[in-house]
Amino acid sequence: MAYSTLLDLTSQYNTDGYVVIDVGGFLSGVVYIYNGSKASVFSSSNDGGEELGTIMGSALTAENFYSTRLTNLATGLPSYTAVAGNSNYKFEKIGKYLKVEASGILVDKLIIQLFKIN
Amino acid sequence: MVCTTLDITNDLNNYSKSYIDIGGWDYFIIQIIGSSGSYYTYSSNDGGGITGVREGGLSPKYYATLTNGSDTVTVNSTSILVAGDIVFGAGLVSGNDLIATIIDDTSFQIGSPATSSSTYFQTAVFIKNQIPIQTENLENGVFDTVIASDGNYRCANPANKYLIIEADSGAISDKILLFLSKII
Repeated sequence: MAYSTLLDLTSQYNTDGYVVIDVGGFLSGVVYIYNGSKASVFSSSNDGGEELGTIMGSALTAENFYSTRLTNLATGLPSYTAVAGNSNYKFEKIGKYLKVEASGILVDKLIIQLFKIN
Repeated sequence: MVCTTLDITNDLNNYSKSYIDIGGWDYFIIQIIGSSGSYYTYSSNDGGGITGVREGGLSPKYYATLTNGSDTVTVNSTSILVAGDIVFGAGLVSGNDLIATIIDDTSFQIGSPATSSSTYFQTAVFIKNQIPIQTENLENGVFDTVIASDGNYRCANPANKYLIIEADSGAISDKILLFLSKII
């Protein structure tokens, strides 16, 4: 049975200029950006920043991100940069952690939908 | 969906090779961090099993301690290893003090610790007849059998049961992480 969830990350994105989420276990997702003041950049990583006996890896400690292309749902074209303004970008089969970042950006909404089949 | 992340840094930095059973997983992402060489991806369905003799693939890990670095082990076999093919030095006790890695049907790798009482472990590997497979660079969408730079590389719907990653001789990376995922 299919399952999906929505993460509203607007406040965190406007405050920090980036968000990192754990997408491991999800089949795909859509990054929805509404009225972004500048372009956003997508990257992913498998590295949760684990340190044996000290830190259990998580989105909070994830590191070593590399640019990752997502598909623009308006054009069908892959890119690791989301245009400013309004956009939807789909991802599937990427690394465990997804990062969206743009220093100093202001958005009206950043909502990420995650989808999986149980 | 179920997923897991494997840290294969040690295998590739020390042995320039890593074998992973990816049977049952839908796709994988290899992440290379801080690399000094190139990596090559292969797959195989041939676990090297021999009917009535052994199962193929990857065996459980063997743990052992080599108590004296000067002790020796002699391998006399030039074919499938059988009892008597391995001769232990006087200071070694089979199953207790020895660590040996089966590379294939005819070769063995013997641990040689720099100091006494070092503990070594390795996985016996029978996988053979590997064939190159391509991965896709998630940054630029390029497919290749060679990974020549840091990044994330994807292989969706891998066709074979075993994944083999080889490194250039002497290649060292800060981290190499393999993310596996499947639909349940």
